[in-house]
Amino acid sequence: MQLNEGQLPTGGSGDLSAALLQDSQAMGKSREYFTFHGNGSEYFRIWIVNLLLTILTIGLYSPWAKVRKNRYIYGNLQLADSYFDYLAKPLVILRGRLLALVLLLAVIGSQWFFPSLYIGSFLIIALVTPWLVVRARMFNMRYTSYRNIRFGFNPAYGEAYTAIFWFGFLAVISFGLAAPYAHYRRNKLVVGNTRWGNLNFRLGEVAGKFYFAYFVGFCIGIVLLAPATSLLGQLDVFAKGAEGDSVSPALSLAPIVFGFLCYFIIAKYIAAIILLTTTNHTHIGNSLSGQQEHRLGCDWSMPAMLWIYVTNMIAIALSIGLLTPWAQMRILQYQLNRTWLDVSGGLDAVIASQPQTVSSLGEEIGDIFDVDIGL
Amino acid sequence: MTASLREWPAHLYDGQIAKRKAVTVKLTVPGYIVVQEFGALARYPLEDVTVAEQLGSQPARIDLPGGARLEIPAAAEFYAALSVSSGRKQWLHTLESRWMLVLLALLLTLAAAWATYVWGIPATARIVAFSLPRDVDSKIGSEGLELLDQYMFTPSELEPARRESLLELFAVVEETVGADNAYQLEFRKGGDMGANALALPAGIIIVTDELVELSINDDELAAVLAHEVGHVRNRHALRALLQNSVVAGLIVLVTGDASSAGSIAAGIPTLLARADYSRAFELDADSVAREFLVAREIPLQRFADIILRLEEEHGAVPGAVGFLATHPAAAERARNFR
Repeated sequence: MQLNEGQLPTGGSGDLSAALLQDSQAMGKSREYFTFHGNGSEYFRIWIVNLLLTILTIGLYSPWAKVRKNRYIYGNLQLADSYFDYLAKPLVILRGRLLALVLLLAVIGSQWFFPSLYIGSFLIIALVTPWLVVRARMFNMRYTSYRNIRFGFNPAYGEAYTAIFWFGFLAVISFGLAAPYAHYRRNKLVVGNTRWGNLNFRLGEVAGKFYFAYFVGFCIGIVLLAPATSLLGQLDVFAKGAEGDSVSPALSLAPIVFGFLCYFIIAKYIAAIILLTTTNHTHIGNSLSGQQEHRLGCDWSMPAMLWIYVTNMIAIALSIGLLTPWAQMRILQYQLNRTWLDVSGGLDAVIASQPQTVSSLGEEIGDIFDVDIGL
Repeated sequence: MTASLREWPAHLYDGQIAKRKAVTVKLTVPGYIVVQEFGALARYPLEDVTVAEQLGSQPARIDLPGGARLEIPAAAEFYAALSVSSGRKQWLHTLESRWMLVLLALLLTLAAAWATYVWGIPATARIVAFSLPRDVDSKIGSEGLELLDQYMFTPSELEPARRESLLELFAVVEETVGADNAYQLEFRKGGDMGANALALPAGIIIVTDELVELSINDDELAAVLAHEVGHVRNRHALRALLQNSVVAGLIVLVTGDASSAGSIAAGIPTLLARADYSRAFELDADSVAREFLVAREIPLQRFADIILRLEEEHGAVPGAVGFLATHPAAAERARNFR
């Protein structure tokens, strides 16, 4: 038995060719399920400690809280016996947040002192939105790893401006007819520029399925709203007739609450079905070697997802927010445990690509002005 | 393998390719971590490796020099051994694993948040507002009046003689409760705003024609003017701006997400805080009105009369219960003046 100080005999580039050889022998296809080990009880305790330390430090702890939260979520996600991880450094995030805070205060200040500048500041925020989206994505991917190989995101600024501005504009002037296609282009931007090591992600040509999702959402909206509005109309007449001129406050709030609930269900339904479509058509492969071609898949049931969304919302509202961590874990458990990767050609031969450093400024400003585009 | 040997199976990833290697990891007493693979050993001083903090029940992660990384599934055992051999404690994890401590944290969190909101923010805003020079917000006032003139008001149709008498009335109010601030009384026709009086930060106080018509006597008008003087004197506009900005800023800093204006989650608390702070300022301004009435020996009832009549004029907002409304319900305020 020999003893090497601080260096493993195995590993290093000499081992690379051996690994590639070994991998090409194992060309078999297999389905690997994701397993999410996070649970509500454990995460509740992490969440509450994060919250306390954040309040006691007047917010300065929040980057540490964010890293701990993300480490909990990523670090509990297992695929093919290995775990994901989140590696961002809190101090980098803190710097980004402080800068973003200064910008926010400048916007609030300009709103008060110079109303004309206020509109200008919104215009500037709108103009940099695609840039921010790309930067935020680059930062998040850069600090996500699986099997000690980092993810990455291409700096596709041009594509971001096309997808967000040009197709967003088309969606508006077509009275929403192009909206599902614009949504497809945004998801294609996000998926298509993601990398894991030397593997590239690709979203299939599924714009038609996005149209279908919007169409179904629209139909649900009509089914929910048509009988409801007529019913509420009668209630309104009844209330007015009984009381003379004043409507009882509780009754006058009912349409607002109901409208919000309908909107919530439709929006969540469309978001969920689009996330499902996107997941099911995400290919991960290497166009150069062509040896590895993996594919994501999931089999979420829409009624089950809607049930979780609605009950989560009720639970959070009734617990003044205290059940938020439980609700978050619940939806992640459902989705991730029903997601898989069809592996073809093995995962072992993936090679790390050149590291790049990305400041968190883009990400944090992105967070602050809510420009992140979900899948 | 026995526990005393402190040896755990682990996965090693070299950081260059995604291949996983099965290794065993040991902690040795003089502060080394030993990684063993098929009889080959590598030994690293603990100072040279980065052990990620313990978190939940997930695997322990160790970054080795040169970019390789270890994943140890038996996290609890490993961290316990690490604590014994190197004295490294996992404070956060200890805090997170005891329900009693977590409940304590919960109570402390609620108490700290409440105290910041009720005392911390208003007290800080007060100190900052009074230490800023008096003309810092004069620009806000003049720009605000311009905007109101553009979109809301039309020129006043009051007789010049009536204006003269109101200016004299205001001079009395200013002398009694003005406390050496600069004031400027403006008359406008309220239009959609109807009967109202408002104070802008630069000491500009606007009275609408409709309010003058609504009042039965000058005592009532003087009481309302004193209320507006209270807003100026106690720098309510600046303090409200500071307080609301701090609330919005804290939500941003804590959640890293200032969709605050848009999202329900952060938007509603911000709005409620705004309304709650504004209510406190109204009550504060009422106390200046009371100070004036007492000093001039005018019956307190005058102020109660005019605000009740104002509410009747505008109509109570349906569903707006006292604690939610921007202005406290007039009936509640009027009770303070009987």
